[in-house]
Amino acid sequence: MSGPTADCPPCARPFRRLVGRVCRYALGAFFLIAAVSKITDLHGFRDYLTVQVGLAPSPAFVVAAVLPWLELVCGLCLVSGMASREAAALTAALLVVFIVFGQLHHVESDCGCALWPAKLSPPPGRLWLLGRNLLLLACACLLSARPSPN
Amino acid sequence: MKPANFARILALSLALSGYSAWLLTARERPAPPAPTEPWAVADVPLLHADEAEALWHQSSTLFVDVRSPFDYQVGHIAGAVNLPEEEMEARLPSLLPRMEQAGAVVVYCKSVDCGKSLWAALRLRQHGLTQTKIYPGGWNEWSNRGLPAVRSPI
Repeated sequence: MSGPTADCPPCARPFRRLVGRVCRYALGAFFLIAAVSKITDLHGFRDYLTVQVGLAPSPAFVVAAVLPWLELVCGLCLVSGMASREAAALTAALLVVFIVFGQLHHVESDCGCALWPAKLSPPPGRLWLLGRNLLLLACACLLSARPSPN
Repeated sequence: MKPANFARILALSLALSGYSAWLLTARERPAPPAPTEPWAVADVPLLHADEAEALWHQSSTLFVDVRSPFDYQVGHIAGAVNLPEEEMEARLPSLLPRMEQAGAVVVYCKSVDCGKSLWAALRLRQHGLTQTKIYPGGWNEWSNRGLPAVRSPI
């Protein structure tokens, strides 16, 4: 049998499994927290999109309606281990969108911690947000590329 | 990876988003609490620092900085947009859609000694933005209180 797992030295397999689990739980927890914080105040999230981000009302409505639940379902899949590779791939796609959008439209009053609507003072810088999102993206890519979830 | 799992995740998310769509359209936005002691000039409400800070924490509030672009770049209230009083007619059309969606538009300038915020607020009200308020303390008071701000690294 060939594959990444079979080629991995036996001593490294527990470490790889540990890294995989840490990535899965961390990514899942992040998206669960982000989802719940938005779901508990959908009107405020839509206001944030229209007033702070500057989205037009119709796209803001669609994003406010769909994004929180997509984050919730992906977070639950990651934490439970069900369809985790697919959920990781979707979260990777979301993170790419967040990174690109964050670089183009940096929202100064955004805490950046996904604990919306909490706001940190002083607001985090662009580099901090970029670094965090890149780290999460790396976890998501690692999980989606693994041959089987653990 | 299985396409069926992708489909299940997306289908479940879309089904749940129907509830969000209903919530966003069916339920009214809760009205903000009325001020206990109205403080206004020319019918434009004025805000104390703690009232301005409370509004800052609401996502539907937009802060408008009417100082010069240089002053804005040096430092401004986090999330505020720059609308110099001298360039208002030129810049306002691009900002008007966001302001119309806002629950409150808070105009500020340097301090209580600066009258730009009053003139800007009156002009915004003429454009139909009746939710416009003035924060007389301005950037100086906000900055001195250590409230959320963005400053130039220079």
